[in-house]
Amino acid sequence: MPLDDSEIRARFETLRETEKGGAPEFRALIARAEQAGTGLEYRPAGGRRRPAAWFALSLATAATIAVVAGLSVRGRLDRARLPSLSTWRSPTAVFLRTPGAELLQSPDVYTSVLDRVTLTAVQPKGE
Amino acid sequence: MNRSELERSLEGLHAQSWGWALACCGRDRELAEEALQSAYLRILSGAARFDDRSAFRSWVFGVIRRTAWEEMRRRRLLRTREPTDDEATDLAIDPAPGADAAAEQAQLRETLVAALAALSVRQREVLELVFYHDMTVEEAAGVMAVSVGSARTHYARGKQALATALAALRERPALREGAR
Repeated sequence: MPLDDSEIRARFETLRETEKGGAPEFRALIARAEQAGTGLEYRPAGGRRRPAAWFALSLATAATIAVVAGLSVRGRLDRARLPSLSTWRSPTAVFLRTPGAELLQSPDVYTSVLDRVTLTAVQPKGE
Repeated sequence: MNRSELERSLEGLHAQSWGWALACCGRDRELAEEALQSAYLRILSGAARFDDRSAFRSWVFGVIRRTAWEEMRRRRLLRTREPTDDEATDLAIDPAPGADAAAEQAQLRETLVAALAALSVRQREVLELVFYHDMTVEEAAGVMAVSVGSARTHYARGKQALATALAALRERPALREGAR
């Protein structure tokens, strides 16, 4: 069942007229707030934040920066102390050492087997 | 705006602000007075600042709305006093209706307040702003801090819900009569 806008407006009008009369006095309301000691001093736009708040904010920012910087430097030092991947050996690598394991090693690519041969002067038989 | 200008503007809006504070506080006079006082305090102390982005009235209503919500939340947390359903509706009743016409008016108000209580907060707010404070739906959206589209939806659904609630309230005495 749709409700006509004018009907709603009329009902609200009745409500408004009644409530308008019951409004507390404006000056009394402001005076009560002042009496409550809540401080009604107008603060200009520039002075909204108190110096103490600024100081605390700066201190917190500086502390955060110091902690972040400290952690970053420490991380870098830790990384520098780690052995490189190419030289790292597993702690259990010793168990893989078996007799004759060197025979299974693949030969060097750029070297020749002849490199290991010691050349000695051949003495002719007749001499 | 300096302090005296603000005071003058607030004083001019006081009756409307009071009506809005009552609406935001479920028509609890005591709570509405406290909320309105806190809202004025915020405005006059510069804690809330008017930045010319909306109409002055919309901005003041927004501050009142936010303050009322905070005040109600604070009360709920402190649990110093729990408002009852009876309190929400009793202040709309004229203390001395006297004549039949006045009694009828009082009943109309009472029915409207009861029907509004059945609506969702957003629906109630948009209807109060449009029909009580003669705002446009766009202005109401600004006060409620919602999009215009959302305010329009709340407005349409609110009107529908209000019609249903009013019809239900009208039928209630008839049902009671029938039961006898």
